[in-house]
Amino acid sequence: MNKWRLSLSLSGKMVYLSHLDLLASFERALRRSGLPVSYSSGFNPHMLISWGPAHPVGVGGDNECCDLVFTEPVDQQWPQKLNTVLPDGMRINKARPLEDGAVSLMAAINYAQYIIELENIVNTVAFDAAIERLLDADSYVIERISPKGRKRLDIRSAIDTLKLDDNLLYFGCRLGGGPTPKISELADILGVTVCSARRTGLFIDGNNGRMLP
Amino acid sequence: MLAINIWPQIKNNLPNVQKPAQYIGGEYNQISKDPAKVAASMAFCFPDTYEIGMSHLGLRIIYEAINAEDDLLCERVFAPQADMEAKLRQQHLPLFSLENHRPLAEFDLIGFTLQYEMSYSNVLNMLELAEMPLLSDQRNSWPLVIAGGPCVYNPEPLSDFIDIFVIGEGEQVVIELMRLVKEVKIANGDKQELLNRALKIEGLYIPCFYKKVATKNGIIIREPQSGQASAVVKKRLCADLDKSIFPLKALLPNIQAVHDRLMLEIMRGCGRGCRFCQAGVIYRPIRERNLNLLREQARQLVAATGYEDIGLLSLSSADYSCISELIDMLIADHSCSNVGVALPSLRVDAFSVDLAAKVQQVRKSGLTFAPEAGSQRMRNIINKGVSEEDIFAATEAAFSQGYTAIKLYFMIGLPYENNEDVAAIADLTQRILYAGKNVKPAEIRKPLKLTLGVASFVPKPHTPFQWHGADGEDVLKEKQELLKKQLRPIKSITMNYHDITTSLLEAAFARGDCRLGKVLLRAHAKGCRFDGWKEFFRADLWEQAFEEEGLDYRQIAAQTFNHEDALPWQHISSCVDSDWLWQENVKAADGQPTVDCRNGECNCCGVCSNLDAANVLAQKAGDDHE
Ligand code: SF4
Ligand code: SF4
Repeated sequence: MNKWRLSLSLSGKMVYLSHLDLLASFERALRRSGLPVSYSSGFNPHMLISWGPAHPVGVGGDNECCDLVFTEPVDQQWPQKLNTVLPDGMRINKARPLEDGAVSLMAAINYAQYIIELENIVNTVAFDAAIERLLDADSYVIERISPKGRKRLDIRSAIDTLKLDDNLLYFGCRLGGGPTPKISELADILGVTVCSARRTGLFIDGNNGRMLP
Repeated sequence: MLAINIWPQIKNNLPNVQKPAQYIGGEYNQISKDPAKVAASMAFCFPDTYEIGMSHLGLRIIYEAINAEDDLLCERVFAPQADMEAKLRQQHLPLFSLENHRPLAEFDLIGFTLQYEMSYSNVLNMLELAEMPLLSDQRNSWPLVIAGGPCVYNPEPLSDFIDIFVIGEGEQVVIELMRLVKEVKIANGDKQELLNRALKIEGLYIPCFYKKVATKNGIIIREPQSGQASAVVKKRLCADLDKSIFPLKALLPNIQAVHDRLMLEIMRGCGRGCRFCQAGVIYRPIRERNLNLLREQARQLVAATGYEDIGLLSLSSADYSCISELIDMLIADHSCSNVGVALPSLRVDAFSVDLAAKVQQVRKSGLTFAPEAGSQRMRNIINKGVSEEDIFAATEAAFSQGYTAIKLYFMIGLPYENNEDVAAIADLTQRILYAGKNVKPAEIRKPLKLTLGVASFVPKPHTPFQWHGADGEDVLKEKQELLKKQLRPIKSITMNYHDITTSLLEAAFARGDCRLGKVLLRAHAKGCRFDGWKEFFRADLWEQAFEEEGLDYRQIAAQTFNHEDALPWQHISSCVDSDWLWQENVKAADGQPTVDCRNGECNCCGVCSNLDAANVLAQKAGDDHE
């Protein structure tokens, strides 16, 4: 059994890497580790790694995940070996062998949980009203401006739960359906300032409840 | 003393800027030291973006050389992009280093590398963002501002801003200078004391010891104020590359750099002597690294970085004496771990195509060759030792091996060039295409594609063509049009040009004198920066800046000097004799060849005797270092 599913944490400066740069960084660490990673065949071989949903730039992660194939069986302790050569702020916290025919992460994961640390909320009444307005609405359209142009997006269906506890905003986000808001966009809607944000988990949300991949 | 660190303030801005990872530092293999525990420190400033600067080997070498010394510290600084610059200015935050997010003014030295003339406005802008006075004579205390890199061979356009120029290869002299900084600081000395004592270090040009003298042909040259400063500053050289320091725990950029691969410097210098080429003069003589040493360095680099490609760096890597052996060795050592070899600079010949095939450099999509000129007459004039046979051998070999896209680099505006020579570029390109169609394997369906990069020649100091003016705007335009007319109808040929105004400005700053400093000040004040980037270049502002100073960049670019004329850069020496350069210029007029000196015959350019050095060629495996 040479296929593994792992969960990574991202913290510190590493959270500012784009998803693509993060992949490059992880692959180089794998090469440094000397672990027997499988490559695709063909003229430009690449490592056989498939990632779950891309992490948003600037957002930390407690359970980012990917699947990885080795050419031969490896020792159970292999994540420790990799952890010694990962950059500061990137760490494997769990790894388990994956059964054949497991559904890919991208296909399976449809839910993300965030914890967003906010600056002191001055006007709690206005904040509560803003949350209520958002959750009560059937649709909520925002405008996103990118180098490619302006887009109008209805982000309502992606928002499952929003709960405030002290200065922490818990945000449950549906993935793979409608467009999802960026943390900064959510902050604008609610009129709050974000100190930091973490994606605490990625899940498979189904009839039997919410499961880790 | 506690070191100032503005990371918290910078961090607050990261959600609101593009590519925030360029401002965070903390890369794998970064060297971190406590600034409070070293005796002297330098902020190494690259006057362009992180992605470009991190691709630059010189930065890596200096960073390694300084940080290898326990008492010295070097941290990196890059030019912030417009969005981050706006935040820094709004919030009155100073420009900072990546390692400890330290304001530049906290360092003892601020060191710029000058790689191309069009980065000069960024140098001024970075100094301003560092909250430093721009003019050297307005800065009386630490830090001192120094500069190195190929552009310092004509330092004059920046000589009002920079306290000390480092001429030549910097890895040894920068340590000598920093040790001096340490001594002077311990003795509580000031900037002037440091400058006085720095006169004793070879390879440093310190403008404040030189007066500005007007010559009869209307330019300004520099002469020593007193006997202390030497009339000519000679370049520094690492005579033995095998003994010089090389970064083996290379930093891994946080965002993909322009050239994001392992950098293995296989040699310095090039003996081919193309007459337009500055690098070919200033990095003489040839110094190849030992084969076994390179093998070992590659091993350590791969282990320390995990890079997927080993890039063999030099001015002309196919010339390395044991290049086939080196490539075979590296492939044997690393192919099982899926690490490839990349050969960034190809020669125009079949041998190079074979090498490219050997390293399977890229997916079979593209190869690049630089014949530089279209007619044999012109190639003889510039001493590009490439015949038409070589060109066809190279391109046909490439096409028959299945490459479908080839890039060709040419120059227009070269000395002695006429319109027929320009037309020959179009003619040659078409013939390459037809020949390619004949040899292309039948199973490859993709149509052939040629991409032409046509640069306008910019005369550079310390080359045989340093006396020639650049072609004027109209002439360059006409030559570009001539090529367009002939090649535009052909669909499988794409042509890219350089912007003429940019080339003329580059020419003006390459060979101009210290009066350009005032123009730079004005251009910077008007908002010029990132002039090498098409999207930021503001020709109108440069136009105004020159006009207000009563100077004309077109005229400076076009200025032709006679053999006996004084030159603005004559106090700087590459140690190649000026008479030899002139002789090469004379030979160019009748297209006489000068052969590569690596094969034994010395052409007496002077550099070896002036520096007591020699060409060093690598021996086949097994002879030494064992
Ligand atoms: S081959 Fe010619 S152009 Fe290239 S580095 Fe050598 S001298 Fe310069
Ligand atoms: S002195 Fe002779 S051998 Fe040395 S670089 Fe010049 S031409 Fe070549």
